[in-house]
Amino acid sequence: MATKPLIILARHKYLLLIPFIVILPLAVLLAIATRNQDYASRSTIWVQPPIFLPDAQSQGSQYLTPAQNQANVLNEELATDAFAKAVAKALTASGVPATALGVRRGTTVFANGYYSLVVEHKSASAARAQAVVQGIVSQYQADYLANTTQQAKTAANFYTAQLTTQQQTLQTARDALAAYVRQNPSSATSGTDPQYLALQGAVQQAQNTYNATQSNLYQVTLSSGSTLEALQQSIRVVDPANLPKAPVKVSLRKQALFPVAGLLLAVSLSAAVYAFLLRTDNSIRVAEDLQALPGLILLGTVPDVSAVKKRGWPKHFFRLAVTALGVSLQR
Amino acid sequence: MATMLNIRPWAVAREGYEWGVNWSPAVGAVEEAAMTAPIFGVVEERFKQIAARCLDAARAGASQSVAVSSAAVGEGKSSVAIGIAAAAARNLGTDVLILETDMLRPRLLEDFRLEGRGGLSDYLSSDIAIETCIQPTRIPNVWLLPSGRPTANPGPLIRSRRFQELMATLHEGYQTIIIDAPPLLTSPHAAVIVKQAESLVLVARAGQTHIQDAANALKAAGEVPVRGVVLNGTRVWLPGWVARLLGVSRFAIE
Repeated sequence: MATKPLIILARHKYLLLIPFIVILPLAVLLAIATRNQDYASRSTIWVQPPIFLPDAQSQGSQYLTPAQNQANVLNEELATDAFAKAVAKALTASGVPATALGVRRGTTVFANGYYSLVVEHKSASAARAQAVVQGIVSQYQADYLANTTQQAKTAANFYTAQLTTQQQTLQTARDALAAYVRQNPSSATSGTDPQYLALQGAVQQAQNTYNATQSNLYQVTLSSGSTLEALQQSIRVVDPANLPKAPVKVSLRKQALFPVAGLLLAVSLSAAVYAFLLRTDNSIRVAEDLQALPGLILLGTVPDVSAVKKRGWPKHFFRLAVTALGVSLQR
Repeated sequence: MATMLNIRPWAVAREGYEWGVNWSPAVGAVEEAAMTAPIFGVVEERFKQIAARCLDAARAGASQSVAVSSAAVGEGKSSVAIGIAAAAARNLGTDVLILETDMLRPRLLEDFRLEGRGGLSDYLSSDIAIETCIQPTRIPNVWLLPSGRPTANPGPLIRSRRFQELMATLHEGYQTIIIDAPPLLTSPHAAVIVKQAESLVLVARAGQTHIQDAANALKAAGEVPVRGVVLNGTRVWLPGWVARLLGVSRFAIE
């Protein structure tokens, strides 16, 4: 068995213990100091896109639930300065001083079901946590409605412009058909005149396009105007932000984080110091070390008289020390 | 405490006390406290082993000399020299002379609590009789020739013909001569002194002497046969229960 590593370990045991003695208490103190008594307020929102809106207007991926889609949207909005500042501004105006960073920090948004979306905020103050959640939800609702209405208006303008063009196209096709019938009255009754049939098909196609655009225009008009209440229902606050009565419990895992990290750091430091000592110690400590000097034999070892640590001996050495000191003083 | 660490208890036995037989003489308190400690029984046995290995018992009746040196200062060569001398006197039952040759740092007189009556440097630099310089110690059969007055430049004295003649004279008078030589790496005259001995014992202090220093010291010693190394100041580092757990002997790793 290699004895030198053991000897170096024993020889420098106090040095190797220093990282543990220093770092571990600091880590525990840090864990205690950072154990915040946070209050958590949460609000549950029911997100169900209005069924009368075209698919293009239902936000998000079709592979995610509406709640997941809206959680992504809200998280992305929270990441923007505009949204966070708007919430902070509204909070400040209502008597709760806040910053964009303060709004972001401690806020969690997650889907809690197919339609259920949860907004949670942790703060040192229960009232503040509640206010921040309320602020975020209000801003989110306002943004959603504004965005949806704006999109609908834009679409309505687009469809209105298209409808005008398509109406002209339809009228042109109708006029062309009427002129052809006037010139060829028998073509309408025979039903076999290819020119008549082509003009009639053009009229039908123009009519269909016109009808479709008109239908789209009707839908977006509904969503932008008369169905505001319905839109509000699509982002419905089921559970308003509550006023927490007690702080949330700090998880054991979080409490143990600093001590465990401190322990790992101390172990790493001690291991590094030990490796360094092992690497740099080229002194002769045991007979094995003399193997580096070929042909040299160990005649014997003389124990260190000053370092005897056997039970019962310290008393003798204490006496020796005292008497030796006395003798030296007498000289 | 420093005083305690610096003393060499096996060098301060007094009259009426037989080294190796009675470790608790009713003499000075320092000696009593020191000698009654069990560690000195261990030390005594270790020195007996070392003396048996570095001295040729078969040559009883013929004079032999061993130089004890180290790579640097403070590694315990003087302590080991005294220990070997005491053990040799006990083992072989013959007169043993300790020749202190470190003229820069003489201290054996103090260790043996003897009065200065001249020493090696005095003999080599004047007409003082060598018999005057050699003193008996309190260890039976152990005699001391101290280094004498400290000399700033001992080179010419060490290299003088008178020193070689003295060695021959001492060999005639003493069957065993233990030369307490200066450190090989720090004293330029150590190699010359070591050459006067038949063999060399190198002292290394556990945890202090580097392997490379020991190798350099051996190179500096030249062609003097090296008997081996005495590892001084070893410690039992592991608690007994740890040693048992690991299946190693505590004393194997001291």
